[in-house]
Amino acid sequence: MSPPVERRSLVLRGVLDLCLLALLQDQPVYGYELTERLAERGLPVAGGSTYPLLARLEKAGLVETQTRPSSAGPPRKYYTLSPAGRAALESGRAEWTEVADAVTTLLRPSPHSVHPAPMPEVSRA
Amino acid sequence: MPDTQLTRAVGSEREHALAVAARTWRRIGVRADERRRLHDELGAELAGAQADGLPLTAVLGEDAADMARRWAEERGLAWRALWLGRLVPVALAGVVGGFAVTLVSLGMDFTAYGTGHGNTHGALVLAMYTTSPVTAVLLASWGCWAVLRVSGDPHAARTARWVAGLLPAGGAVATAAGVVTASLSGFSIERETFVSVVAVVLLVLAATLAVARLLAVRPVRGGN
Repeated sequence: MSPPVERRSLVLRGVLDLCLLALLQDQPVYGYELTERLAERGLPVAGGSTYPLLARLEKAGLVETQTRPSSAGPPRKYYTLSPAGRAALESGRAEWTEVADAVTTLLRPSPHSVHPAPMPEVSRA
Repeated sequence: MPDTQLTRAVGSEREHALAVAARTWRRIGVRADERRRLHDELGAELAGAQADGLPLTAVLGEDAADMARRWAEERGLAWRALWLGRLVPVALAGVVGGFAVTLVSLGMDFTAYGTGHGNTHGALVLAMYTTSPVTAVLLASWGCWAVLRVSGDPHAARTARWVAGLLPAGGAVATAAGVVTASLSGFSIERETFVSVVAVVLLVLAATLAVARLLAVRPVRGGN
C-alpha cells in the first residue's frame, strides 16, 4: 500500500485544478500566492506545479489574466476565474462531492469489522 | 552581507535560473520570439517572488528545467521551431546522396565526351534518372525524421511525411528557378553564374522544407 503522504499527494494532484479554480472564485490571485494559499489550507504542492497548471487552465479558457502594478517588484500577473471556469468549478465540485461521499461511505468502519465472526466450520461428513 | 552584494547574488541566482529555462526551451523547440516572451514573463515572476522575500523554488519548484518544460508544453509552445539549421543540411545531404550515382555518371560522361570513351548504357541511364529522384526524396525525408527523432521531437514523422510530399514539387521549382537564373546570365560558365544558381536552388529547397515543417507543427484542432 502507498504511504499516506504519497496517497495525499496523488489525490491532490487529481483535483489540483479544482483547488486552483476554487481559490480564484472570490478574488484575483497571482501565481505563487496560490501555492502559498494551498499550503495554508494543508494542501502542500510543489512550487513548480502551479504555473504549468495555470497555463493549462488559461489555454482552456477557464482563467483570465491581468497584469497589475505591484508595490514591491515588477508588475504581477493576476489570475481570475472566467465564466467558463466558474461553470467548470461548479461541475467539478459536484463530481468531487459524489466521489468523496462514495469513498467515505466505503471506508466507514463496519460494525462487524472489530471482532470478525469466525468462519463456519465445514462438515466433512 | 552588504545590500549591494546581496542584490547581486539574488540577481545572479535569477539569471542562472532563467538561463536554465532558456536552454530547456531551446532544446524542446520553442520559437525564438516565444522564448523571449516566456523569458520576460518568468523573469518578472522570479523578481516578484524575490521582492517578497521568497526563494525561487516558490515559482520553479526543485527542478527549474522541468518546470520550464512543462510550462512551455502546457502553453502549446513546445516543438514548434522550424529548425531549418538542422533540416536543410540533412535534407540536402539526402538529395545529393540520392543523385550521387547520376551525378558521378554524368561527370564521367562529360569528361569522356569527345574522346569516344563514353559508354554508359541507355537502359542504365534511364534507370538512374528514374530512381535517383525517388532515392533523393527518401533519403532527405528519412534524414529529417532521424535528426528530429534524436532531438525528441514528437513531430518527426509528420515532418518527414510532409518533406516527402513537398520535396518533389520543391525540387521541380528549384530546378526551374536554377534554369531561369542561369538563362539570365546567358548560361555562362562564369563563377558568378554557378554561385547564383546554387544559391537560388538552395533558397527554394530551404523554403520547401520550411513549408513542410510549418505544416507538420501547426496546431491540430482538438490537439495542441
